[in-house]
Amino acid sequence: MPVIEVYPERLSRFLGIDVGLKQLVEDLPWLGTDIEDVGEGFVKIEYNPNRPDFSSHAGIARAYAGFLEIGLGYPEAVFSSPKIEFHFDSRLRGIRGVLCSAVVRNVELAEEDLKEVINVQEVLHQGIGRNRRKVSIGIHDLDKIRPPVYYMAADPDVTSFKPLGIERRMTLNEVLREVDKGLEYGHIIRGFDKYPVIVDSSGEVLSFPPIINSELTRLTPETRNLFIDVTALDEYYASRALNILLYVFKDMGGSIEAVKIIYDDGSEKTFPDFKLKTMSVEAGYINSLLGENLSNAEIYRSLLKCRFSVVNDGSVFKVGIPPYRVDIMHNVDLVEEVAIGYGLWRLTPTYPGASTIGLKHPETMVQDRARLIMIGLGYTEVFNFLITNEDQNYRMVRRPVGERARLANSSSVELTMLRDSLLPGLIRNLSSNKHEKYPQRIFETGPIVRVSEGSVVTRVSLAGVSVHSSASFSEAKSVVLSLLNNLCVERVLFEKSEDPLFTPGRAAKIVFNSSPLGVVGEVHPEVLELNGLENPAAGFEIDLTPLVEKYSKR
Amino acid sequence: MESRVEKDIVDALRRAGRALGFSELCLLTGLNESSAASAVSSLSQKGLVSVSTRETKYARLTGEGEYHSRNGLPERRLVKLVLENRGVMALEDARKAYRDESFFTIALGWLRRKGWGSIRAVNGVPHIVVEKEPPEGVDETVVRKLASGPLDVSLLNTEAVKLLSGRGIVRVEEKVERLVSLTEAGRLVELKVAVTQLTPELLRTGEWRNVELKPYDVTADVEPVYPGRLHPLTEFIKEVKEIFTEMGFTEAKGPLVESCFWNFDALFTPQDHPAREMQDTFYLSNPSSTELADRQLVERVRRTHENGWETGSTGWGGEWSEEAAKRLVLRTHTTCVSVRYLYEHKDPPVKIFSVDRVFRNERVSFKSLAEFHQVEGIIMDRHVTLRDIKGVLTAFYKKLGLEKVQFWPSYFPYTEPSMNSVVYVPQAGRWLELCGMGIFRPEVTKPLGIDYPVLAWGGGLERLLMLKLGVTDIRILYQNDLGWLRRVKLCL
Repeated sequence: MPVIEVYPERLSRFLGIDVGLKQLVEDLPWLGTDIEDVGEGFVKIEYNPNRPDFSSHAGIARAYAGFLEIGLGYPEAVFSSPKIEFHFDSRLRGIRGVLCSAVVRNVELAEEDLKEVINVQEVLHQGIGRNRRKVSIGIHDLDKIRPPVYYMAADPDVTSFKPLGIERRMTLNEVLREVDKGLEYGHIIRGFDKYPVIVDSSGEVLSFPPIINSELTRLTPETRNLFIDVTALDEYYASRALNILLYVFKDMGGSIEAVKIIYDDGSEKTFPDFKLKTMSVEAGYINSLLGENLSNAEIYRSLLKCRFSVVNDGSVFKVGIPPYRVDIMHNVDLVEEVAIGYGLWRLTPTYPGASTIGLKHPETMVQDRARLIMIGLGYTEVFNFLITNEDQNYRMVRRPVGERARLANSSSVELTMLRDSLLPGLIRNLSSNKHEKYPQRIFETGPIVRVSEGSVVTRVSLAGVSVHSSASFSEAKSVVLSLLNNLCVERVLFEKSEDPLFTPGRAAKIVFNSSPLGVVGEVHPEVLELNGLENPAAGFEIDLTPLVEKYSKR
Repeated sequence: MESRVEKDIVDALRRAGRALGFSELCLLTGLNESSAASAVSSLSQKGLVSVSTRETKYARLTGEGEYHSRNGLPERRLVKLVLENRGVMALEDARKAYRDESFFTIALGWLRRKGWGSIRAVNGVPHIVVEKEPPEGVDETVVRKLASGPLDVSLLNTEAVKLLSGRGIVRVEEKVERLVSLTEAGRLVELKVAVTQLTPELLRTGEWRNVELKPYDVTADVEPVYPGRLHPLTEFIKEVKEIFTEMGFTEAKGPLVESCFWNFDALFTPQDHPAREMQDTFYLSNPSSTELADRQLVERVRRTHENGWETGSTGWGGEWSEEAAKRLVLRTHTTCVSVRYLYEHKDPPVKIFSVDRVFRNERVSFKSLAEFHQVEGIIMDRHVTLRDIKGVLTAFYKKLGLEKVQFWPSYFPYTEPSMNSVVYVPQAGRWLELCGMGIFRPEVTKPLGIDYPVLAWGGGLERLLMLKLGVTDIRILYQNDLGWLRRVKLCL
């Protein structure tokens, strides 16, 4: 989740009143942010990804002003009519087919402001921009540009420019191959035969979206006028990203000027789009979800505090959503806003009335019974991961690699598949406990996963191993019989088993109702040796699934 | 408190009614010298016996004496021989019939001296005449007593000893010996044998009454023993499950390997959501996908994602891919278990919970694991509210011993309104962010056919357990270090 360090003096500048650190620590959580850390003169907060407008002091101040009731209702932003035209090359439709743009004039960006703007841009790239794939933003020094501006499909090996921070001209393909940002984001466009570029009337490349801007339009402390491009796959998110950024510039003192996008077919669109999206919500719905009995006036004020424009007709509220909000999709989202505006702390706990009877799952019941018997037999429970690897699950116990549930994208070579048996894990546990006092008796119960005819089959298993100087088949078999007997599983048969984990001739299949139920035996000396064990071991594994099924039918 | 050996010694002294020399004591008790010596020393320390030394004279048989002790004194043998011949026997005949000729003269001398017989001439020939069998003489008594070993001369007839010594049958030796006698306390004390282990034999015979069980040093260290026991995770999971069932919740279970459809799409998580990316979620390569059974449900979910369908939502826009929904993942939360359950149980009230494994494709470190447990609770009913979540959670935490709770606004893709809670953990002395919660969005419930509000909350299990156990590295919970498992304290 994104974080931001909030400095009270800076926040006060946008709020218009002075707030202290202590007050911020107390208040900010009620806006839906988490206090991560309180440092020397700042509070570090974590905010939710659905609120990218919290990526700047300006944005937080906008919401906080509502909370403090010094700024109620929709914070309006105005823009002047377009002077710059931005031509859209229709060949980009299948490549990166959405374009928005705006101009900001007369903004004085101190170093801190510039840092913050870049942070907002980064947050938008990562969050709603989905790592620049869905939305990416370029901010340019307008005074270096000769309008009109063109968004064009360019030849990757012909078009060249000086990328930001690079001394020489490079072709688009060279940028993807050699520049850090090209290597990082090149995958977004690499499959296309033309790449998007933004050029001005002199033919100079201003930007190679979504990869990198040109050195030509670099922002400097002297920059006063900005040209912003947003290229995207989705217009709603592109336009909202632009709005979030423009509101920050507005709060920093800039004047917004629209840009006219002209398409090949002659149609036009002007950005920014600050038109309020509206949504209606009823007091009854709000109160039923919150469990409150809020008056219309309370609801009205709560929504204003969350910076919405509100018109109400009795108990129906028509709510205008500020252009910088991306998280209001359904009127249920407005219910939450009312709760936040009203103050979540004011909702006192109630206990729901439904009378119900609690019940554990049959699997839990069977496992808990089996666990009690196992600890009664002197076994200590272990808890292993489900995710394992072929080496642990097969090779270390002499078992052949089987049909198994494999992971596609593990970041670790240790984690490649799901265990299909508990015994390998137990033997591994013994091997890491050689320094501990013997005898050692351990058991585990939990799921194992196999693949059968292309489908995943999960079984509930229980396994135990005993290791000491005289561990034997008969000891393990006694334990199995005692366990099964106590679980009311009677008349099991023991047949010879060929399981390579065990010593030949000292292993048995456990058969119940003519189906295999498990195995028991003395662990093969080679398995002991592979795992560095110097004492004999005997163990067993039993499938508890039939018992779970029996319980489920009760 | 005395040992069996000590008791035997005291008993022997009591029976004798006098001081006993050490060797005599061994003889009477059948003890070997070293065990008798240590017992005497122990008794002496306790003031029950006193030990002094004395010089004693011992009489023992010589080699010749041994011979006579077996066969009788020479004169006794001669008497017997004569009596066998009706009491009168020619001297020369007797000499010939006497077996040991060398002793004959001695025998004849002592016969006359002891007055057991006489020499008389019969028809001018000397004969030995014996009237009757003489009784055992004091010298013979001494020989008999010495047959079983040397004895203190004071126990024997002094004259006889002197006589026998003169005859070379007995030798008198002098020896310094420890003399053991009972003290006043030793005479009066009531002795019981000290026994370490109460045996079946002692119980069966009733002998336990006559013995005393030796007291132990109850402050001494003993060998540690370890019970077979449950893993702390299991103990804590059991506790949580019991709390839920006590509160009337039913446990739900669902697949560990789940389709993206149930893990994400049914929960209105957009298909390009970062949580669905490869670096966050484990996808399967074998098998890699599954069929989605309920076509109508799939269509409703598709439309909800694309344009909101009938839920009143705008949806996420874009195109929803069924192929992406069919991909199999290791479930990243248990909320998919809950929505599957709700899909199958649409009639209110439904109160379910799960405490189960979930997976995240994360780097394992001291604070995060790729595999861990999530606790989740769900209430679906006609009139449940956000305030009810606060109430249920407060009750739930209280049962866990967590009395202080705070709720803050938060965000999750599938709940609205959303909150999270922080609880004060007294064992750790700090606040812990514990559960996310909220009311399922209509975009989640409507496509499943659920018409009532659904309260949902969930959170990680391990972090709370870590605070309870006082461990700072989450990995210890799955290391299965037997030393830790045997010794860790889970004080609830």
